Amino acid sequence: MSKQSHAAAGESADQRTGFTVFLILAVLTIAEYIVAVGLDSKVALVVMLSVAAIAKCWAIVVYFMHVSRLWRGEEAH
Amino acid sequence: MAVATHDNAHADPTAHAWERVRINRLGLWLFLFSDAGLFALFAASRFYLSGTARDPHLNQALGLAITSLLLLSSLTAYRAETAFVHGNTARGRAMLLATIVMGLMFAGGVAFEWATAEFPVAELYGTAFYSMTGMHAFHVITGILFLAVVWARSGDGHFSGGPKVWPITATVMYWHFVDVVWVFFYPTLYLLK
Amino acid sequence: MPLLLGFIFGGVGFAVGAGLLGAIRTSMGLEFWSTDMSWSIAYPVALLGWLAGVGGWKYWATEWFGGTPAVSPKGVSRYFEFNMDHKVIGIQYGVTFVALFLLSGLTAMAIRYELMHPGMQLFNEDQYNAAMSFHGIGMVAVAVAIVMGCFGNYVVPIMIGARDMAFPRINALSFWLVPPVAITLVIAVLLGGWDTGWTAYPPLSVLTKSGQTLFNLAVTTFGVVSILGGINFIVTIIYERAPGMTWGRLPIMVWGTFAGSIIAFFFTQGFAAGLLMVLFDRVIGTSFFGAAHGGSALLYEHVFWFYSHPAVYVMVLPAFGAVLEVLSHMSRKPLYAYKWVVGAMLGIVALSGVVWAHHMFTSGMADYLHAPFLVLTEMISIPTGIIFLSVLGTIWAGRLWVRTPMLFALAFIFNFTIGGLTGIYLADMPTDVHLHDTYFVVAHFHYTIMGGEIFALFAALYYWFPKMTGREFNETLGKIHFFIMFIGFQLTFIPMFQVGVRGMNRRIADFPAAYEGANVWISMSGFLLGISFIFFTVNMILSWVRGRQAAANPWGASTLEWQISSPPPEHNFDEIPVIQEGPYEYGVPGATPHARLTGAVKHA
Repeated sequence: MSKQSHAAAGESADQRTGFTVFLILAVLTIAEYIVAVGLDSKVALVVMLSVAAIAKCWAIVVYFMHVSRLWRGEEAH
Repeated sequence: MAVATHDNAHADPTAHAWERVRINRLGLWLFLFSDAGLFALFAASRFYLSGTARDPHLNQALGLAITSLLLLSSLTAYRAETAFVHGNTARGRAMLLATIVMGLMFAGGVAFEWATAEFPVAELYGTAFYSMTGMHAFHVITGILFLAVVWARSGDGHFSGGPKVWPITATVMYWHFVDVVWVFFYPTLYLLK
Repeated sequence: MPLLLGFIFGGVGFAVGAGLLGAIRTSMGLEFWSTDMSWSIAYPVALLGWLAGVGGWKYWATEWFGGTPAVSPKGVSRYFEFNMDHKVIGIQYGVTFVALFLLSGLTAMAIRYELMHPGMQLFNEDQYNAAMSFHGIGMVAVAVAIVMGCFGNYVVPIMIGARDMAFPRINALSFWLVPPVAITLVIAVLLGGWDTGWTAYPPLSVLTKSGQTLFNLAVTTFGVVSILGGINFIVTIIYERAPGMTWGRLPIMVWGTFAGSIIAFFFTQGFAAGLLMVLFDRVIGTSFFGAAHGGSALLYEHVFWFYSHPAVYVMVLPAFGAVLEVLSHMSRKPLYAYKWVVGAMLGIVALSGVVWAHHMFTSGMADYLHAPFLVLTEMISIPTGIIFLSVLGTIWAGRLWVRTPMLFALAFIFNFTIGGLTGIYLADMPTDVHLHDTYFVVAHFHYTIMGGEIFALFAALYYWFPKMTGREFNETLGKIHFFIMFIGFQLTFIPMFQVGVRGMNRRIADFPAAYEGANVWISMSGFLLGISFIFFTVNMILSWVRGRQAAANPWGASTLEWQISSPPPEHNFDEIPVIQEGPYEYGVPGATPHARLTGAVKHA
């Protein structure tokens, strides 16, 4: 296997991670919207929206912004 | 350890470059954290002044549309960075461009909303809405400027390979940060009642 | 020349910003010029122009557009343009802020002249407000930034064995945002000033004249300076330490700077947020603080004090660091309870964020907040007490070498003790209700900030003067400065406690005749205090121009900055030094030297 195609395989695996994370974010966003339209209880809404927002924030910070590179370094992979 | 590699740095240019990236990365995270504090204080002020009340005249369809657009632009930004990391300049540039276009559409959406919104700025909800979306839009626009600069400079393989990708990574991180802010602002402004 | 270019580009930027806004406004059928809005839009553009002009473009930004950054010159001219060397920036900060300090001090003299007798002497009420406000913000800016900006920048990288700060260009950028802040504030005063002191409380700040807008813009910029500077120090201290410089071996000045930087980076946006909200209320008509639509002025006080109480620790933590440094080296003893001091500094950082509402006991905030903020505020005295224990343990039975820096460091202890003890009456809700907004508060914070931080500043200034300029200062003039300043300071501010207890309000241009006797005394003493700075200024100028050549290590101190020449060479060290022991091992049997400068460990 040449170095070139090895790199390409690495890239497509990383790109797949991106799609998966995006899918989760999209589902959560749509869920937020549906809950906000349908739910009448203010307290429940605040709780559910907070949970969803924190989950989305966590996914972006961990998978898109690679927060772990702060202590692990990027070059180490 | 950073301390241990300090002397090595000058001997090995790649190690030195990675050391630089590590320093820059911490600086950027601290800056974003600090900036997040500003947004958090505005969000807190919104709750302090008007609780969770929101104006019934909000354009919910537009809100959902621009939110989706910004989320999608975060994906393209991620794809751009990943492509540059793996030396795929062509795809990286295309994805940067896609991010810029979606960012512009987001800013356009906010501008349209401002132009058509039926609640005045002097109301409590209007105060929160216009100041929070305005500050966020300002960050979107600066993000677009940064993206444009790296896009324009990425043509000649300038950002390919290892530590040289850092300017792309930094810009993309800033863009994700702008998205994270909106992740909190969207429910705060549009969904709570 | 770059300065001139900065002014020209800044002016052009202002014109472009104001012009574009005017064009848009005209096309919407509004007037071309709207003072508050035009300034708010033109000011940031002017800032960019100024930064580009002073060298930000030539040495940095051109790179983003494919250009090659220019190489900095070597001579004196580099002090007058964008330069990335932390030693140049340290001196730039030092000179700029000493100038601002003297200017704000002059306004204090004018204020004291006005307040000598009842009735109006020098000013009308508006002018008094302008002078008082300028004195306030000028001194707050000096206090926040001078120890970290000048000595932090100059000394901290050398102390940890680094060649420069982590972000030299950000460092230069932060400094060059300072002159526009000072210039904008002076312009605001010349255009009639603003009325709200340095705190900018609404609703007055929303309703008052347009000088307020300039104040908000300038001070928000200063917030950016503080945040960027804080981040720079944090990253530098984490990543740029020399081999062997473990966290337990950092000189205490470095710890003070680190702790202050954490607060600056974490809390400063509170001030920025408050000022931006005032600006939004003024310019685009939001209702953050407008009661007519349900806004709340209390919101501002919360947001503002969320920063502005921690800000006093941004001022005082690096000052603690500098004083402990001077005390240890000039008592020839190890720093007593080093680890406890570090813990206390970090404890102050942690507590600083949960005490802000003790400024608001009389504001009408919710009653249930009173007790927790009272208790939390009192808790600050625990870590502060530990630092004082270390101070006393360090000089205890030491061989005190009483030169000018040591005198200032000892005076710091005296003054800060009085400042701290009188603080208790203001942290305790029952006494604060009586003392709030009186001269007791003025005396208290002058004892902590001027008696504490500014005395520490002069300790640091005299201590590092030989290192930074390569010249010796005049010891006699230094001591004259110290004694006049110390005596003048006590005579000025002790009586203020008394008139405060008797009910004299602060921030007023006129007062009842009953307070006249005390105010004559305070003003006379204040002028004496002012006179001391003549000796200081003369000493600094003469010594810098024609002082004797300073030795590399005139104090015989052990930390790294004294092991290299005065002033240090361009990149501080030929070889990165190796640290083998803590910095304060005076008289410790069997201790190896703090650092080894040559023959660093060779890596494979």
